Order: sequence, then C-alpha cells, then structure tokens
Amino acid sequence: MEDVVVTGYTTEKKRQFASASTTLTSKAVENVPVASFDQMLQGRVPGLLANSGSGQPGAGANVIIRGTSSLGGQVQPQYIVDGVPLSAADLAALNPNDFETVTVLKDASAAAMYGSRGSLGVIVVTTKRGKAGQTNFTFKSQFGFTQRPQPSQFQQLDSRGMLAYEEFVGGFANGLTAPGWVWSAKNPANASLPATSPANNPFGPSRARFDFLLDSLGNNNVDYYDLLFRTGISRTNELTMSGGNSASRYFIALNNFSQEGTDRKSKLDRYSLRLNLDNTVGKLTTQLSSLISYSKTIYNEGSFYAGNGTANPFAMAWRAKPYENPYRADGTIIFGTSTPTVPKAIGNLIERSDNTNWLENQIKANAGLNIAYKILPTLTLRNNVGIDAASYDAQGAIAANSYVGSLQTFQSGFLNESFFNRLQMINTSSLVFNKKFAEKHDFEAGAYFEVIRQWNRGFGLSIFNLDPRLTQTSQGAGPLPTNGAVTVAQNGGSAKSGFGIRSVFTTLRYTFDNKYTVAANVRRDGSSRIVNPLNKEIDTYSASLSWDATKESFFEKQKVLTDLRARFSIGESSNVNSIPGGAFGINSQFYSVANYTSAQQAAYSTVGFAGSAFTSTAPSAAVNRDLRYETIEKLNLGFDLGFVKNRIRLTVDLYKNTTKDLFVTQRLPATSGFYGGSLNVNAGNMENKGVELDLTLEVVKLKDFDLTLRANHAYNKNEITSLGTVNEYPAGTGIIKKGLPVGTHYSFSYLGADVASGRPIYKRADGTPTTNINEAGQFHEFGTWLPVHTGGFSASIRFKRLTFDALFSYQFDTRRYNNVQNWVSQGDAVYTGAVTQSQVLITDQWRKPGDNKMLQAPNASRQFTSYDISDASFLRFRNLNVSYMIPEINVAGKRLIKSSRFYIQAQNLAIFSSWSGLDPEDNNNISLAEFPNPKAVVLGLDINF
Amino acid sequence: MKRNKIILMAFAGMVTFSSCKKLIEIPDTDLLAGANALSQVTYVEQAILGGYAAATPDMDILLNATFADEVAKAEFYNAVTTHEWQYSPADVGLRDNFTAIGINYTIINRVNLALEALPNADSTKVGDEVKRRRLRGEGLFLRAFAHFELFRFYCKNYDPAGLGMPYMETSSILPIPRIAMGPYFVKIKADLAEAKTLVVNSLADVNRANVAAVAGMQARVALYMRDWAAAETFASEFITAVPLATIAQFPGIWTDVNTSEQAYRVFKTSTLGARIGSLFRGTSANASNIGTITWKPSEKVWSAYDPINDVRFASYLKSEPLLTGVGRDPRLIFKYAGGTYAAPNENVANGKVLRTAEMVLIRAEARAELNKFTGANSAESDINLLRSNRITGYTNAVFASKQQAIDEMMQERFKELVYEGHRFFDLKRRGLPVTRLAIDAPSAAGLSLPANNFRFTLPIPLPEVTANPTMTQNEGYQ
Repeated sequence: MEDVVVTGYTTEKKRQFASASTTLTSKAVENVPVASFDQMLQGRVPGLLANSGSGQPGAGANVIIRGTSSLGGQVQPQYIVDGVPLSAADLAALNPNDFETVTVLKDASAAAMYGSRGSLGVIVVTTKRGKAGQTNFTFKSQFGFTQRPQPSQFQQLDSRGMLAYEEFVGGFANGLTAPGWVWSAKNPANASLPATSPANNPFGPSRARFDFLLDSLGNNNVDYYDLLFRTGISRTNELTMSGGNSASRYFIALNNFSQEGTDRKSKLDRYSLRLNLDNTVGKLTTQLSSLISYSKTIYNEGSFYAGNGTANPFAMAWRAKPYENPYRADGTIIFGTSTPTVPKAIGNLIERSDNTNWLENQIKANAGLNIAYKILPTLTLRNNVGIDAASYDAQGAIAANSYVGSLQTFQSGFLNESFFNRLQMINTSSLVFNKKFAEKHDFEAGAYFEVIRQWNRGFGLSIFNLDPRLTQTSQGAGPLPTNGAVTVAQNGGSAKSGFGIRSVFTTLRYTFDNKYTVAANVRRDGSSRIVNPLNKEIDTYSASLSWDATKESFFEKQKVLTDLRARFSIGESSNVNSIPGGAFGINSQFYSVANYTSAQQAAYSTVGFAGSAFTSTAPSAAVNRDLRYETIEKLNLGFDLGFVKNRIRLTVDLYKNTTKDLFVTQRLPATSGFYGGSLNVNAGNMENKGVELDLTLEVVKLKDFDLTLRANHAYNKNEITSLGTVNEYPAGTGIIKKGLPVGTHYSFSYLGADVASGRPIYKRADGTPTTNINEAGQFHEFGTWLPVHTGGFSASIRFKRLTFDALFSYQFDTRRYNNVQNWVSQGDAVYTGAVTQSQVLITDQWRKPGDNKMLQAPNASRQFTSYDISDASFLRFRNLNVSYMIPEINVAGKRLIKSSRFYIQAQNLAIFSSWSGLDPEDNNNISLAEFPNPKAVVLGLDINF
Repeated sequence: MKRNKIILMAFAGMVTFSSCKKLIEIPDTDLLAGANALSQVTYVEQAILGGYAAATPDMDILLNATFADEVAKAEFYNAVTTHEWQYSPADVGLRDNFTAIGINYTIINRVNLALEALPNADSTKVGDEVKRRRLRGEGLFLRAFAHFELFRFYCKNYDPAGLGMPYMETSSILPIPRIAMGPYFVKIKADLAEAKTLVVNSLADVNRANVAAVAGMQARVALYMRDWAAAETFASEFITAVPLATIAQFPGIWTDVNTSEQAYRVFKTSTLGARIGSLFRGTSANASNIGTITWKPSEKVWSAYDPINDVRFASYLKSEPLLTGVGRDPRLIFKYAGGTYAAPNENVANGKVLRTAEMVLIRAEARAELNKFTGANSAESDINLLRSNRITGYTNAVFASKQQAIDEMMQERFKELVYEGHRFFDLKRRGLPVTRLAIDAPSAAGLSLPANNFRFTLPIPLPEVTANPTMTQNEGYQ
C-alpha cells in the first residue's frame, strides 16, 4: 500500500509519481456509523475540507480540496470508483466497508487524467477484490445509537424568566402581545381590571384571572429537546464472500445499513450488493466491478425544509416559548391557530410531523468492465466501460384528515410525487506502451480516447383535495375547483437534459535509473456544455519531475535521513463543472432537472404588445454566448522525508493554484440590451496558495505494543486577484472583493448600545459612530467562513490484541453568521413576541440612561450585524475505535472461525468550540438551525470464517 | 483469433459512443432558448414584435415637453433637476424617466437576436418566405430607429467627426466604445435603405413598419444631418403616400378614431403600454375628481393658437370647468386624454410616431434651407398647405425671406407637433435657446437654457459608465 498510487486509469509506483496525493486504507472508512463516506475524510487528508451541513442519515459533506477555486457555488471533486465516475450526490448509496483504498489526488499531474472533470481534485476509490485461495467469509454486525443534540447553548430564559422579560419589553416597546405583557399588572390596558372575575363569567378578565394565567404558564417548563428529538438506532449487518483461483477471483458483499436520525422521523435504510470479478487468462485480463444498492430515506418534513420555519424542530427547540404545553391532560396534542397568549407552535409542529410523510427511494447502480489485452509484453490495449446510474422517487404527503392538511390549498391534504433519474456512461479506450531499455531507462507512453454521456430526466406532480380516509395516495382525490378561471395552471412538470464530454489525451513517463522521473500529459477536452463552437474544446497539459534521492550514492553516506524524495508538478486544467447553468422546475418537492446551456442561449418569454394579434416575445435575460471554461493553473512542490528507519515520516507540499477566466458577476453595458443587468462572465482570477504537512510517528513498535501518532495540517490562503472591470460586489451576506478571500463577510459593524438613548451604535464608513443604520458603513473585516487552517491528528495504540484508535479533527480561522444567536438576543418587541430570548439580555441589555451595555434597548432593533458573526473554529473528537481481536476458534480440531473482532466505535464524541449553538460545522456561511451532526456510538462484531 | 476479438470489442465500444460525433454538440432539448426558441419564421416574427413592444414615444414626449417650453409645473412637482437643467450622470430624475440608453438598446438587442436567427429559421407556412423578407426589413427599421433615438438623446448635433454611440449589429455583452457620427449615420442610413426594399408597401397595419414609415425616418434622419435635398425627397415620398388630414379628419387622429397622417404609431390599450396622458395628469379617482395634474400647458403654448379657428387648440388643450369649480387651475393638456375621467381607458392614447404634418414641416425646413422660401414647392407653400388644413378661413401667407420662412416653420413646428417629442431636439438642432415665459418658469434658474448649452445633450448615466469602461462621457459631465 505504501508503494503504489491508484489514479483510476493507472497504478503508479509511488517512487516514480511526482504528484501530491494522499491514500487512506480501508481502516479509515471501515465500520464507521456514517452512511456517506466523504464525511469520514474530515481530519484525515491534509488540504481536504469535508464539512457536513446536515445530520440527516445519508447526508454528505461539502468537500473542498485545496480551497475554493470557483465563485459559482459548491462544486464537488470528481469521485471515481474502480475507474467509473460516481455522482457526488450518491455517495451514501455505497457501502464504505467495500473500500480497499481511498486516494485523494490534489495537484495538476495527479488529476491530469481527468481533464475538465478533475480540476477540483479527484477522489479515487478502489474496492476489495478476491484473492486466490480458500473461500473467505466475513460476517459483520453492528448495533448502536445516534444521540440527540445537546441542548441549546444560548442560555434560554425559562418560563417565568421569559414572562418577566416579556413584561419588561412590553413596558418599553409598543405592540408586544406576549402573555407576560398582555396579562401584566404593569400594562396600562389592565389598569381598570376588576380584582376578580364576575360570578357569571368566571374566566372573564380580572386581575385574579390574569395572575392565575401567568402563574399557570409559569409552571410549564417543557423540555423541547426531550420532546422533539430521540435517540436513534443504528445497525449494520453484512456478509462478504471472497476467493477464487489463479485465473478467476471474486468478491461479494451484501450489506444492510440502517440508521435512525436524532429528530422524530429521519431514517436511512440501505441495502447494497457488490460483485467484483477478476479473470486472467493468458494475455487477457477482465475485471468487473459492480454495485447495486437500494436506499430508503425518511425525512422529517420540518427538518427537510429546515430554516427558521415553525415546522423545523431544530429551530423550534430554541425558538418556541417554554411555557407552551403541547399536551392536554389526557395526552392528546394541542394544535390549531397559534396566538401569543395561546401558543400552539410546538403542538402544531408535532401534529405536522405526525401527519406528513417525506420519503425518498433510490436505486443505484455503479459498474465497470475493464478489459486489458497485452498485445505485446510491452503494449497493452485496454477498454474500460462504466455505468453510473441512479433512479430516485420521492413522495411528500400531507394527510387530508389532519390540521396541517386543512391548511393546504383546497383544504384537504397535499401529495407530491416525483421521479428523477440520472445515467452517466463512460468509455475509455487506451493503448499503453511500457518498456525498460538497458536497465536504466524506463519508458511509458499511453494514448487515450474517452467519451462520456449523461442523461437526466425527471417529473413531478402535485395532487390536492385528497380523500381524508386515505393517506399518501391520489386514490379518492376529488376534482379541483376552477373558481371561474378561464385557464388553470398545470400541477405537474417534467424535463430532460444531458451532455457529452469527449477527450483525447496522451501520457508520457520516463524514469532514469529509478532516480529521476519526468512525466507529461497533453489533452483535448470538449463538451456540449459550452455552446459556442469556438470554445467547446480546450487543450491543457501537465508536467512533472520527481527525484528519488535514496538512489543517489551520497545518500548512503549520511545518517540523518532514511528517505528523501522531491516532487514538482505544473499544469493547467479546465473545469467543466463550474460552467453556469440552470435548472428546470418539474413540480417536485425534491428534484429539479439541471440544464447546461441556459446561461449561454437567450431564453424567450412573452412580452405585452398591443400592436399585434400575435404573441410577442423577448429574451428574458442576458446570456453569455462567448462563455469559456474556467481554467486552473496548478503548481506543486513536495518533499517526502524519512528519519530513524522511516519511523518518522514527513510529507510537505507547497502549492499555488491560479484560477483564470474565473466566472464573476459583471455589470452589463446597455448595449447588451439589459441595461443595469449583470451576468457571469469569464473575467476574474483567483489564487489558492498553501502548505500541507503530514507527519507519522511510529513511537513504539514492539511485538505486543505499538504506538503510532499521526498529524496533518493544511493552511490555505485564498485570494481573488482580479474581477475584471470591477473591484468588488456584494454577494448575499458577503462580499466578493479583489484582494480578499472568497467567503468574506460583509456587514455593519456593531459597537454597542448608546449610553444615553440605548439605541444601537454602528460604525460609519469613516469610522465615526452613528445610531442610524442608514448612515452606517458596511465592512469586510470580519473574516471568512471558509476555514484557513484545517487538520487532524490521531493515535493508534495496539496492546496485544487490543487496539485503540482515536481521531481528532480541527478547523480554525473561520467565522460564521450565527442567525440563531441573532434571534435569541434581539430583545425587541418583534423577537420577544416570537422567540424565546436569552439570559444575555438580562445582563447585557440597555435598560435606562447611563447603562453601558452591549445590547440595544428593547424599543430599537439591532438588525443583522457583526455582533452575530462568531468564531466557528472547532476541535472535534471525530472518531474513537476500541477493538479486540479474538483468536482463531477451533472446535474439535476443526477450525470454526479464522478470526473475529469485537469493537466499540464512536463518531463525533465531543466538540470543543466557542461557538454558541448546536454545531459550528456547516457547509455554508450562516447557521440557520440546521440538523446538527449526531453523535453515534455502536458496538460491533466481525467474524471471519 | 482472440486478439482480433478484443480489438474488435474495443473498437465496438469506441464506435458505439463516438458514433455520437455530435457528443460535444448535444443540445439542451427542453430549453426554450437560442435556436430552439427562434426555430421558425413564425417565432422570429414574435421576436421582432418583441422589439416593437419595447418601442414607445413616451420618453421623447416627456423630455421635449419638460426640458423645453411646452409645459409649466402644476399640482405636483418633483422634477427640479430635469425641468431646470441641473442633471448630472447620477441624476435620479433622468434615471427614472429618461434612460433612453436602456430602452433603445433593448429594442436593438431584441431585433439583432431575431435578425441573427432569421436566415436559418424554418418556413412552415405559406407566405413565410415573403414574411422572412418583411421581418428583416422591420428589424432593420427598428434598429435604425432606436439608434437614431440614442443619437437624439446622447449626441451633440450631427457632425461626422463628433461622437456617436455604439452601433450594435449583433447581440453582444462586451463593452463596446462609441463610434464617430459619420460611420454611425452611414449605418443608420444603410439599415433604412435596405429596410425600404423589404417592408410592406401598405398602410393597412401602421403598428408595424412599412415603406412610408421608412421614408419618414429617412426624412427625419436627413433633417438632423442637414442633408436638405434628401430631407425634401423623403418627406415628399411620405406626403404622397400619406396625405395630410383635413380639418374635419384632424380631431379623429387624437381620439384614435382614425389613423389619418400616420405611417407608424405605437398602439396602446388600457392594459398594455404606459398611458401617454398620464405623463401630464394622473388618472382620476372618479368622474368629478380629476387626477393630479403634474404638468399643464405653458402659457406660451396656450396663447400660440387661435382658439376658435385653429382646430388644433381643441384637440390639444382644454379648459376644464370641473377644475375651476374646485379651485384648481383648469388648463389641461388634452392631446392624449383618452377616455373620460375615471374611465378604464382614461389617458390611453396611441403614440403617433411618424405622421404627415411632421413631414410637411421637414420639407418646409429643407426647402427654406435650400432657399426655396416662397412660390410653388417652397417652404411657404408647405406651411400654407398645413395651416389651411388646420385653420378655418386661413389666408395664405407670403414669406419675404429665408429667415422668415425658418421662423414661421419653427413656430409651426411648435404649434403642430407640441407634446409629440420634438421641441427640445428642434431647439438643440437649430442652435436655439430654451426660452420660457416668466409665468411658465418654475424659478429664475428655470427661465432659460442658453443656446448650445452642454445640457442639450444628456449625460451617459453613471451605471453605464461603470459597466462599460470603454464608454466616453459627454462634454460637461466628465
């Protein structure tokens, strides 16, 4: 494993491979109780950022290798499984236990084989294959739990505290309708209340009645974390079989992974079957790698849409007023119209969750057939054909006989059914020549021709007016009223799309005396994703040089180093995935169908014109007919060092990636026909520069005791170096500005509450303070959400049969908007009315002239400012595995079990961060009550027989 | 044997896929865009109509009324910067009402995209080949028309060496610099000349271009170029095709009961297109509560006519007794009044873009400049022709000099073409000042704009200067 690097097309000897790459063994991804293996990469690969934005079972991570190199959204690296591309959306369909190696290719020459698909890095997976010999069976079983998130760290007020705070805010600001103020003795509206309710109206307004109500609410203190979340069950069962003879070998794995999420409903059930076959007869080698899997995912509808909505349990757990009791004495849920004095938000959430079904099925196939024929001992003809297919269907159903069903259009439930499929096929034909001349000259040359074709299709339909006796079906649904309209809109949609990529490339490698290796790659990629015939095809290259110093005579003479290699690579690659496109809506709650050229061809829609009986049409947006590929020029310089018999190993890589023809949003001149408009054009440049370190220390290496420590760290500096004709433009809550990194926050600078008036103070553009937000400046001094430093460290200890592996991951120099904090610490009438406020307001809010406080008076709004941009750095105890190898078990002299292993595996055990909230880790700039990553602890048993 | 099998297989694989030699040309089949959207002549026609849809004379009408001496402020006034000539490239008044650079390049881009698609569009109906020619002609007409509008707003008086605007003959998002007026006008004239050979020679549908309309544009372009001979020829062509309305027909032009004199108009309904009448007076809440009057006729306009014998007075202006009753100034601009107060079509009136009276006056000016100021086929005969079709009991005038002919022509343009989008451009074109009566002026500063002042040419709006680094700002606004 130390000696080769699998690039997907070829297997390179590591000592002749100049590229920056990191290879993980199966151990890193085995038995981890997480469905999507990209999440397992966090903290393990220097320079690879893998942050997850959701704890839904099956959710993937946002993977960025060596910094963001495009402004056009989150584009994932290329995944390859046994030579076949795998859609980044389908990672959870794979069983990571099948993996043999995971190789992350980071620089130009490593990714050169992948051309325009590989410019953001390539993650190459190889799966396990059979070995000649006795048939080997392995049975794996795992059982454990996912744990609900830790309660909010926002120091929410309890019921009495909240009622008292409402009274305080109500006395300060107009319009508060919360019970703490409505029923307050201090409320002027209650000045003339009778002391007690009249006998004929015992619940009529009176001081006594109001005090009773306040006391009654104050006694409710519902723990919503208990109510809305659960401990989920996670289990895996797997049977693998492998074996064969020298000619034919096979590997079969059958797996079921089932995991419940921590909210009320979320769940993933995955069944996968892998079949890998190898056949070698004479000059012909045939390899089949195939996976078929079926996954069923259940979502909690409220979590699916997330955000700050009242159906999202991750929002309502901190947002809902603690004095709301969602249950009657008889245990039934209280739901219906929610008002501040009769809050039913939690009841509605539970009722909604109970009466909605949001689910998705996926059938996934990923298979490749690789046929190699050695025409001559030095010449191999190879053809690789691959299929990556996924078929999804999804349902969003709201029961007709429920309260939430009565809120739908036509007041009787809702059903959305949709379907989407994606098929990508690849065929690569190659001819590779490899020969060693005169012992010292090792030469390899290859010519490749590759075609890729992708098809997408989807459709969706919505059904209303459902029969209250049935759920999740259109059967019995009534007709829809037209309300007198001449035409009615369609309730269904469909679309199809696709693209092709055609590549020709050639590779050359020459190694002299095992010391020096030069390699080069020249290629031409073309794609239908670019419309302009002049720009469809692009030529790129890469070149590399590596030096193995251990083969030099002087190396023998020194004592310090036991290994030394130097690597240099340079190259340019195009990026087919960052080309701006669009999507067709298909009336689906889950899917849309991507289109690839809508930014390049004028789309027409009807415009009003009185002067003709004919329809008149006009292009609805400007398009870029001269659109080109973004290209990334990559430089890498790396060193591999070994000390003390290579028990200390250090890999250092320095890199600089320059994105050219970067898509930036540029203002359009009037001559475009879209005065005042803007469009993505190839006008900018961006740079990512960084250092990566990977250190392994084999501290102890004894017969019964090993201790290995590993650490990796990456620093990446991103900078936009050009934006064409402009220097900056705001984008969402951030700014894209020349000289600054991507993800830079752009916000008002909040300075605190004015001592005299309590009004919020902001900084003006000139630095002076103002209490008028309209005069305030916006600043870009609050950092970026994309972490600058990432890394991880691990320890592996083996004592006899007991092993202990611990992994920590960390990120720092990263700041994110904390929207939840913004909501719980606004302390004004609007937020106090709708959101449980934080104790911070009791101590830090301005209450009277002379108060020197951070938070503004309740009669003013602070808005969205730098106050809510928080440090999102964290150190995470990512994974712990303690396992015990049980020796061979023989019964009556007959070997029953070759080996077995018992283990405890825990994921996300702890997090250390100054961040207030459920989880500092996310895949974007702002925390909006997302589904936090769960903690999972499982017990497992592997038996090999 | 086996070797051949393998080679065969490999090639079969290659051929299966690469038989799609079109692999890098796979279209987005479901996208109603580009070649899909304009695949047939019928759809190109819709796209040309989209060009017409953006064309409207409202901006010309408001600019020439409020920047010159046709109106006076009335009940609501927020146009200080434009009415009193204080505008800069960032002016909000210009941005809100006079962004000619936006609307005209929108027309041009729509037309250019249609013209690009036209040659390859499939003809699917009988007559599509004829239509293909006509559509090209209409596209060229609209393109020349919009470029000429840009010239009127953003360029100084015609001078071949002076700064024109970017002339767009294909759709492009790239920043494009201004070109000299010489080549700019060569292109305008070429587009019009070609258009004339392609468009229909019929006045059946004056919502779209026809030969007379093209001739009218040619006359107008020649006028601004001071190519007097051409102006006389093209204007005559128009007048022959579209005779002048009689006194009896004249009021019907303004109530939209006939299309007399019109070769090209912008048709408006109560739901499509902005209401021209609302430029001067808001729509009314009910029949007795007349909408807010933003602009009233200037005293200079009001007193220019013989209110009894000149048919134009009652068609253009009105003294509204309902207003007197409630203590409001009764004088109204009535040219685009549309339906009755509070009716659904109140203030809805078509824009008369090219009409015969303008052509008669263009010819009069050309003839005067050619020193034909009196006698048959002179400025004198043209002005007498016009007046005799407007004024009951008119006695022909006799002009003693070229200067008199010019002065009479200018006064007649003022009276005939008021609120039709000409006045400010005419003063600029002839090197005259804007001179308001004291009673009409909003302030002392708003009394007059000296002849040839830089503000006769509008600034290139600031967002455009930012978006297009190759753009040159006009003199006085740098």
